[in-house]
Amino acid sequence: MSRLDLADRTTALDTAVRAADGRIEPALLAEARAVVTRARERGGLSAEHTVVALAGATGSGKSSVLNAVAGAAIAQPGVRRPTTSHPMAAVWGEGADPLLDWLEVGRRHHVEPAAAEPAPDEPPGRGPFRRRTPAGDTTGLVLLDLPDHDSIVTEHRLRAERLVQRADLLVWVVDPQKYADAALHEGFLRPLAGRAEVVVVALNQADRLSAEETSAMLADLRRLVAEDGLDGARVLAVSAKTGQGIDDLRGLLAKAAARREAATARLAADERVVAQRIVDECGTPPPSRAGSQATGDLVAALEDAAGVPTVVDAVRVSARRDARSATGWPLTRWIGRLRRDPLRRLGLRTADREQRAPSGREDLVRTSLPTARPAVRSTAASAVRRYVEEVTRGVADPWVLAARSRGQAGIDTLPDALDQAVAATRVEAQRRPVWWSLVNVVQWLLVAVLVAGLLWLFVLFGFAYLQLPPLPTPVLSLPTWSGDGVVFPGAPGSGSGEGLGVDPFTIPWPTLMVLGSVVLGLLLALVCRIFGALGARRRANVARRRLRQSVGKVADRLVREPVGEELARLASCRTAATVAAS
Amino acid sequence: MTEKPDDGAVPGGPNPGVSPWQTAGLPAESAPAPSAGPAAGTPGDEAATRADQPATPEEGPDAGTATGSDATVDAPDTEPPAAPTAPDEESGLTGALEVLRARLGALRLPLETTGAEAARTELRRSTDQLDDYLLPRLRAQKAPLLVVVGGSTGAGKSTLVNSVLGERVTQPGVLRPTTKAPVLVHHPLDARWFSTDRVLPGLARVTASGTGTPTRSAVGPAAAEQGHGAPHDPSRTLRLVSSDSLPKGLALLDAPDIDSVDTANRELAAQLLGAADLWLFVTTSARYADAVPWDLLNQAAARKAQVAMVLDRVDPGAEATADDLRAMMVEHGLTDSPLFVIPEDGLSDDGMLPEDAVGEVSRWLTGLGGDADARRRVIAATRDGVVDSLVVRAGELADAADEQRAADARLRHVVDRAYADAVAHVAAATSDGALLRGEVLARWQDFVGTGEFFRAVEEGIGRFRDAVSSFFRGKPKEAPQVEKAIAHGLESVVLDAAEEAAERSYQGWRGDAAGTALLEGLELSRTPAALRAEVGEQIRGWQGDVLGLVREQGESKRGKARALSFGVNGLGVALMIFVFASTGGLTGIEVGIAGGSAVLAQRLLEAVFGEDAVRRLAVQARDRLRARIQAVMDGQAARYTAQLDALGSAEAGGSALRTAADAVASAAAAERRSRARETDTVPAGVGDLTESRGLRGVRSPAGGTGEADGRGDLAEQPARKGFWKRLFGEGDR
Repeated sequence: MSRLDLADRTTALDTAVRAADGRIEPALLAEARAVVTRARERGGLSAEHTVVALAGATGSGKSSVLNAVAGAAIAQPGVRRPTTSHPMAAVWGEGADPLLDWLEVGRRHHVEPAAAEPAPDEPPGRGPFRRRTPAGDTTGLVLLDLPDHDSIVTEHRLRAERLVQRADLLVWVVDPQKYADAALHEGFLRPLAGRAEVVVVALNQADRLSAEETSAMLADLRRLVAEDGLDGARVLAVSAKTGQGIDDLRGLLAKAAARREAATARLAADERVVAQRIVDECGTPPPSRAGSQATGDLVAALEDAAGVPTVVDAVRVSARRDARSATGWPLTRWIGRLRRDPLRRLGLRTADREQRAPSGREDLVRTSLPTARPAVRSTAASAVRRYVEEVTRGVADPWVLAARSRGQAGIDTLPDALDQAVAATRVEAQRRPVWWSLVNVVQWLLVAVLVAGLLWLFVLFGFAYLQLPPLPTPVLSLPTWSGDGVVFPGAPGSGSGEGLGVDPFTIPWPTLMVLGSVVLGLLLALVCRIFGALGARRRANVARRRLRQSVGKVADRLVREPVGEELARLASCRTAATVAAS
Repeated sequence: MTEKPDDGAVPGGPNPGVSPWQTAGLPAESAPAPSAGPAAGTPGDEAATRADQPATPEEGPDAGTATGSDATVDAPDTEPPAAPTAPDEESGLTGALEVLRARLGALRLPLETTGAEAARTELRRSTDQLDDYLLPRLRAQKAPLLVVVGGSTGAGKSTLVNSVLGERVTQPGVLRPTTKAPVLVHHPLDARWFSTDRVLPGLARVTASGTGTPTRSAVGPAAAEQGHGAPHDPSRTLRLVSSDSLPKGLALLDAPDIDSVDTANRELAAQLLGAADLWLFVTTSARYADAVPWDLLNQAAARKAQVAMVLDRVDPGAEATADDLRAMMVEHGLTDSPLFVIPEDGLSDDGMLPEDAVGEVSRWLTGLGGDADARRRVIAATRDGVVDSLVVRAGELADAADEQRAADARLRHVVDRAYADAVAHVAAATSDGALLRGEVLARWQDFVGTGEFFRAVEEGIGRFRDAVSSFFRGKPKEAPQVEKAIAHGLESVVLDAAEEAAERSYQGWRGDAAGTALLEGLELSRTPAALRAEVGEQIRGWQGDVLGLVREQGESKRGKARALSFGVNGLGVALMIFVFASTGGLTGIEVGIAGGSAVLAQRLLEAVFGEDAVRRLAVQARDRLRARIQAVMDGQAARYTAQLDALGSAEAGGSALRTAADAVASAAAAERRSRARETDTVPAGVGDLTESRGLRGVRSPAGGTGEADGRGDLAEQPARKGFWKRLFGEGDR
């Protein structure tokens, strides 16, 4: 039946109750707590004793049945209703006092095997108390005579309810008049639904009925008990007056006392029922795959809210601008510098940040990223809502509400946290690419060549202006194609190139230096610009990745972890409750 | 009138054809009494009773002839010689009660406020009692006294009824609950009072002789309505049995138990007890201290219903229980009720209690049946108690209705406040330039150009570049980008506000018992998926509005040329920027980062349209935005309020009910005063038992066995004296 140890089951239920605190219906929670407490308390008390409660309506003959079972006039049955107002116990064996203290039963009667004689004041004909059951069998039995549960004296009902909760085995004594009372079935048996093994229903006063009537009534009683959710509970007819069926009942009780399992069985049954209800309250677990998809959406939305696209754009533009200023044609670089630097405008330049904050504490800096507070907050809040909704799909409502409030607790700090995450992320390259320096050197060399060429030309111009004889100027003769083949116009003795109609193509070196360096410089700048753009795109991608990480961390810290905790709590509650309900 | 033909009708057997119209004919039947009987009643009484029967004027002759044979027989015998009550007051009371009935019928208690469930039960009970008992009783004063035998399951109600009658009319048994369909036993000549839906209109009638096969008889319209589905549902039928053992003018109703697991039984029992002129409450020596019956008895005592107790199944040796029960009755305010004790003896072969055991009950019932005056007093006492308690209960129900309306208002207030806050939130977010600080500002700066050096440079080459880039990229000019940024920011703000309002409303309702019942799952706490689209549409609509405003303004006057030169889109965007940058009061003082940009926008607009026009435009644009957001939020709030509208709880309210209850109270007081005046003049009624075979045990010697005698002295005799004293005494007061 229950492979699980009662202690383990109690621990599991306790775990579930702790996890479910404030998440499920308070009434159920209180009930579960009461069961845990009861299990602990009962567990600390004598396991050698089995507490059997004789419960029933007023006038059904609980006290008579107690006397009949005990074989002695222990309780005083009366004709005035309600009769028994305080519970009383008949105890077989020693050592039950702490247990009875816990049960708060003051009136105790020790049944000694020898004392099980008919009391002298017992009126004759009250019923034959046969004692065929060996005394040893009933050792450890504590039989309680409860007050009624249906009279107009409400304290009785309260006392009875308490003991019904704490008894290990319940014998409901009913009689032919009252066996179908709503007060019994709706008030007591239905709450015990699913615990058929701890319930015995004894139809007393069977002597008032004929045999057929008895069997018909027993069948009807079984039907009613099954309708109460106690299918399989033992139902038997007894008569305290004639002793009919008392032996069966006594045997049943003696067996229960001998097995010493009733206490465990009762508590385990209680725990199972209440744990099952907790499991039902938890709902179905959310699909695990929903999480990653929802996380992706959440981070994307938060990035949007944090202005990551703006930053990434700025990074790209700034990187291109940097590349251009490093590799552009030096003579026009300054124009590019006049363009705004978007990254600097956002306050994300590393150099600026280090000026504004001590190194290593970049988190003290705010970006001047345009923070649209209402819009950021709104976007973030909507994203969080969608996230919570996705990951709690199928979860029971109270848990969803709890997860939602946990998730939204961080919304007000989200805009700031996002801003800091962006500010603390290094979006620039650590160092400038090597090729920038190389190109830079080349560019400056070309400028040097240009300057040299210009100087040379200037000197030549000066000579010509002063009508000095022209300096010998080296000329670069380009090989040209003529009809005869490759002609080197610069070759000595070839004249000034008349004759074939092809002007020999010769360029003086200074001119070549000037023109060549300008063309090369511009070409190089153009090529580098393309590479710079590619590099800027790569840089932007890196920045995007880093920013996504930072934003993801913020999302983890402020949204995913609280919500995850809540879901973990749900999972642990569910697992523990499932264990306790197994 | 048509009395003469009735009198001339040939006396014959009971009329076989029982028509539904007999209800209507009842007062007409009673009409012969004054003309044929020894003492003439006040004619006004007839008129009053007639007035209460709408169908009477047309149907009078027919009904009269149809039932003439009954009338001729019973009119001289059992109709009391005079109607004791003043007609005007009586009809006034009936009228007031009918108004009250209509009000109660219209009362709905749909919200789960605290105590609503109890109030609903109370409402059902009250209407049932009006329909089943009070209105029939007032309309037909002379209908037989209805004694409902009620009590716990297994108390022996059916056995008692059978034993008293001396024939098996109901089926006792050992299995609980036994009696499922209530059985009404009446004198054969009283059949007409019960075969129609005059009393207990909710129950279908089944006639049967003894325990034979029940046959359905013609029943009233209400029963026909009732007949849908399961016409023979035992808990909704009333078995009619005629027995000439019973004195005329007295009917016994064997009710189902009040405390078994069968819920339908319990409800029916409560309803039947509500319809009783007199309760014969059966309990046993094992049961007399049960809580459930005493709840009912306490109610009965509270509304002064007439109760007689029977302590059944007293085992030998348990006689002390009678004293105990007597003490409990005194304690619970049933001091004057008689108590009969029936010992648990063996039943005879036919399942009857010994004759002398039921003798006292029989004698008492016979005495009651024979004494028309006593009967009338019992009826009057119970009726007055019911009227009083109805007035009280109507007041309580009016309170419950007020509570409903208050709950409705409370729930609506929660929703209204949440969504009003949402609108205010959006308004706050869209003023002071808060919304502009992000994307919108960046785009706007892109749009109007950047400061620094390139502003000038780009003005020249920018046009060329734009043309080229728009040619290649297929993008129009920049303005739509700003619009998009505005739309994006605005959309997220509105969406968030709507979501938050939905959650707040949900929280508010969840904290309220009445609201919690209306929330099914979390559906209401989430905004529908279509909301984003709706918000987007509204924002685009607003942007269209703004462009429309600008275009209209531009066309109107001198601004036209200038407006065209800048482009309608550009000016529209400028106007949007200006709207968002200005504070709620539109003072023109711009703050924050957005200030600079908005000043630019303002200057731009003012240059084109002039200062006043800009202000007007901004106000208009803002108003339209607010109106559109309000529309969105109203649509969202309606998701909640629709729940309340569907229930119609706003119309609930107790004032009309209270007025009706007050009218009943004053009418009842007037009626009682007039009754007290007239009682003195009425001669004591003369009992007549010639029609009855007599109840079983009635002729057994009064002091039967010593045991019975002792009990009688002990409990019953003083009680009975008190009972009669109270009955007679109270009527006189």
